[in-house]
Amino acid sequence: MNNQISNVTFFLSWSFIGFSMLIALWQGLKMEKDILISGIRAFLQLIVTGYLLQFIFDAQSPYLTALVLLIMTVVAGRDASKRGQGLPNVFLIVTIAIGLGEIVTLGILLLIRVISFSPAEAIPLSGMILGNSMIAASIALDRLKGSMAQRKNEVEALLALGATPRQAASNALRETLRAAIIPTVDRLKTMGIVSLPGMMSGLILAGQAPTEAVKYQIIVMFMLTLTVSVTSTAIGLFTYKGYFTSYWGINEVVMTATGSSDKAKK
Amino acid sequence: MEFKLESVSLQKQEKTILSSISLEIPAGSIFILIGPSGSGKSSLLRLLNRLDAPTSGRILYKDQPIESYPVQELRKEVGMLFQHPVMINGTVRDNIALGHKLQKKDLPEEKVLELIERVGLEKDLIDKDASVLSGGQKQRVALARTLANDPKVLLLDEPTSALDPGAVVQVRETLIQQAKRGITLVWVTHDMDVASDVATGGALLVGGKIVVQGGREELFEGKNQIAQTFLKGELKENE
Repeated sequence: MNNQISNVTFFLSWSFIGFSMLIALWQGLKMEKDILISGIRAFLQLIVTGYLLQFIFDAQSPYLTALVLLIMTVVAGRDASKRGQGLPNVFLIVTIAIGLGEIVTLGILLLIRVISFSPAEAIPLSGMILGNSMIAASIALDRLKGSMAQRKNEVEALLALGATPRQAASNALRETLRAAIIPTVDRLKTMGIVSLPGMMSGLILAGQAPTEAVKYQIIVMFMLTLTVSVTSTAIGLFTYKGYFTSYWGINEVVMTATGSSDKAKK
Repeated sequence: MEFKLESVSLQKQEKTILSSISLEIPAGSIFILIGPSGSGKSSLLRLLNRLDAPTSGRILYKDQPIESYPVQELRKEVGMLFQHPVMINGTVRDNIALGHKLQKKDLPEEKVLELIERVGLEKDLIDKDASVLSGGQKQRVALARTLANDPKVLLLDEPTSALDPGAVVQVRETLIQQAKRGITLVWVTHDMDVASDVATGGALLVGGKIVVQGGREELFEGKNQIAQTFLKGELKENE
């Protein structure tokens, strides 16, 4: 493959969308319009992003880079916090949790000199970190809500025995963290056998030797394992308190608001 | 006086659960809370170990405001049994020692065995997986677990209502024995046998309000019309 895509080739790539629309039409899916509009959206968004990134890369300003990372973190936090509706301060908590995953991971990458704090390296890697962080945060929030609802009787029995909220919620917390971390650990196991991940494929397509590309991929996978661990732990430890009152009872308002109160009752 | 409630009200999500409850629970008594479903009996019980807090009013425990006790100490002293006993993963021993483990302490083997005996279970159950026990056995393990904290009061939230008839009698007897050891029982029940046989006093709640309270005479032989209707089993839910 060539590293440069000619305008003609680029234009012809619309035929992928065209054929998809034809299939939709043929099968009566009523999705032709949707496919076209989505295609146009993706096209415009990516073109704008491309020019924006080019501008940021050319500027070479660490402040601008930091600002971009901050905006990316806040957007990721906003999106993932939708899963935690009903939990107090969820947007703030999720954004901080995702931010922590980003800071710790990027910090280590900088420290061991895998990358430098240049926009061309920090921004794409942060995209990967934040994307995975966001998914881990969503899973963690979802599971925490489910576990707390399911284990409400257990939590209350433990509180009545003299447990602290942390002790009473410990099983729910453990389930939450496991659920958020397991997909990444499972991905490590099949890496290179079942899936050739995006970054490695991209590097190979861009002309890197596969032996070099895997090195990057290994580092990326290891780093993402840490990212999801940090983010989901932070989510668990920052949010479980919302389920408890100041006098260590169950906060029924939060239980109800997270859509879980009546499931737990018999 | 073990507990004294002064004009206690409880609202949850703009719904009035309890209104202006004033009540005295003497130490060493078997104090029953009866009333139709949804009348606020369980909610009232949960105020006594601060699993819930009243919206207004005051609760005194041993003449001190209940908030003045560290909540963990209060809950060890005022233990609670629920309708559905929750066993944690592990053996009967693990469950009975749970309260101590939460305080990072060990409960010696002979103490565990003593508690097993005290609640009327066979000693060889000690290493059995708690999840495979019968409902009645689980409730006894839950009782032993609570007794391990050496409580002065037991709050009982219909602990026999989910058990089969044979187990009901046994668990009930075991609970009454604890009262004979000087533990105050505050007992939410639908079981009129408990109410009329062993109660030393109690209160009848209807719609979050106390209709009758006092000793056995006031409760069972009083002239209150609503009380008589309830005791005859003719008072419908949520009335």
